Amino acid sequence: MKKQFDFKPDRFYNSNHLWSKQEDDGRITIGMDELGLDSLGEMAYLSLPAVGSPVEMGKVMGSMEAAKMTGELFAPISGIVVEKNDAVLQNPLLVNEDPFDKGWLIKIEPANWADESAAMVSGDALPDWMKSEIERFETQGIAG
Amino acid sequence: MGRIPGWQTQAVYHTVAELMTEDTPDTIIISQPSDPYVCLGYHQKLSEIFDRKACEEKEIPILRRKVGGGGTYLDSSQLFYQCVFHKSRVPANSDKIYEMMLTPVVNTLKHFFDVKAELVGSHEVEMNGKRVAGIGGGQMGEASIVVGNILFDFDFDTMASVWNVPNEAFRELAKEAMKDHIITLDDIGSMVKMDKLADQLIIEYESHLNCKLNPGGMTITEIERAGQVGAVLRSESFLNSMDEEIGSSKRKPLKIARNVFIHYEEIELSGEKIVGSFRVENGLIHSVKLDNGNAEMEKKLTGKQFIN
Repeated sequence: MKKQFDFKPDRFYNSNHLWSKQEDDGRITIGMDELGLDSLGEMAYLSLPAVGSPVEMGKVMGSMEAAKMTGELFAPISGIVVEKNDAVLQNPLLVNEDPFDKGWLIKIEPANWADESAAMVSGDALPDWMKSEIERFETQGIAG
Repeated sequence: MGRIPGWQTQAVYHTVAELMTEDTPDTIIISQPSDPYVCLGYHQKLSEIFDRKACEEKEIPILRRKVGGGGTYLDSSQLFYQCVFHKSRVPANSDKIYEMMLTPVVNTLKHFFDVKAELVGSHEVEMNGKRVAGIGGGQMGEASIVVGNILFDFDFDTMASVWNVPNEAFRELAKEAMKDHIITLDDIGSMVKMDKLADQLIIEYESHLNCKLNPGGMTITEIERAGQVGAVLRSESFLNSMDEEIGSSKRKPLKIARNVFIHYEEIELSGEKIVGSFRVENGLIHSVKLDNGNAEMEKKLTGKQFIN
């Protein structure tokens, strides 16, 4: 049976499997989605940008390590980091346990949310995109 | 690459990864370090893992790698394999990447020895239920990397002597656990030479990946760049880069093998706070050395679930 992954419809997703959600105050909360986390395994380390530092869409903003494998975290949007989640730095497993709520990574004051969010996947486009991403994760790099 | 200086065994695969594009061939590097060194995992804090003074006294250099896993002692008794593939040509799932890169290692062990060799917990190569290899991986630029070694022998005493430990009881507990959970080819009476095993490893990679591996050396560009990369991996700034980086202030337990950790913790027992070193296996206290030396309490704690 195929694995099921939850994608919250109230946020925007990118191909690095980070989600972005605009809060009532206009700030953007960033986190990792279930499919991305499933492919990585249990989070052991996270390194996140400092509060006050600028981040640029597509540029490295931090790093992570899961199942002894390191990876870079690329900023899904541009802006200034206004908050980082100390709870996930203390306990990186929280990202796996509650990716859409307590396991968020950082909050950003966005520089260009309207344009940059348009480059992500959201709303009605989500179900088809989810399906194709699950397919990609199952087949990429596997011969036959 | 045969026998090369210790720092080069790290610098070479970092360089190949750094210069990788979609047009670069996927590369498997097989080497043996000519001299010993210790190597930190990318996210580890140097101050929590290695005792710099002990390393200096023993003239053991310290490097930090950009891939994951734990700090370890490496020397000429170990054969290294380092797989650097373009990220588009490996699975998206890390378990499947490990399966792709480590199955040939398992098959090599099976080829030579009548042992139970297997890939366990997605990324641990075990022989007769014990670790025979150290593994790490990472995504670097456009490259996906898996590195590992096969232990022909292992210098447990030197490894234990360079750990930065809270006290000697912790070191002893960790050393005992290491001896119980790590196996070497010497332990099974292997007479197989390292070059013979390396040759078989290539055959197993060809078979598993269903392709012919073309032998090759480094390009001039790669050789020049490797020197610079090696200097970075040994630099003070890179070695100390994680000490202020991670938010967690709590010391991480020392991982010995799959599901085997050494913790140094304060726990509460019957209303009393006690501090000690705990060897925890599959969540249970295997053995404990309390700082207050209370043998009766140590006995009482053994076999209990470890809750910190």
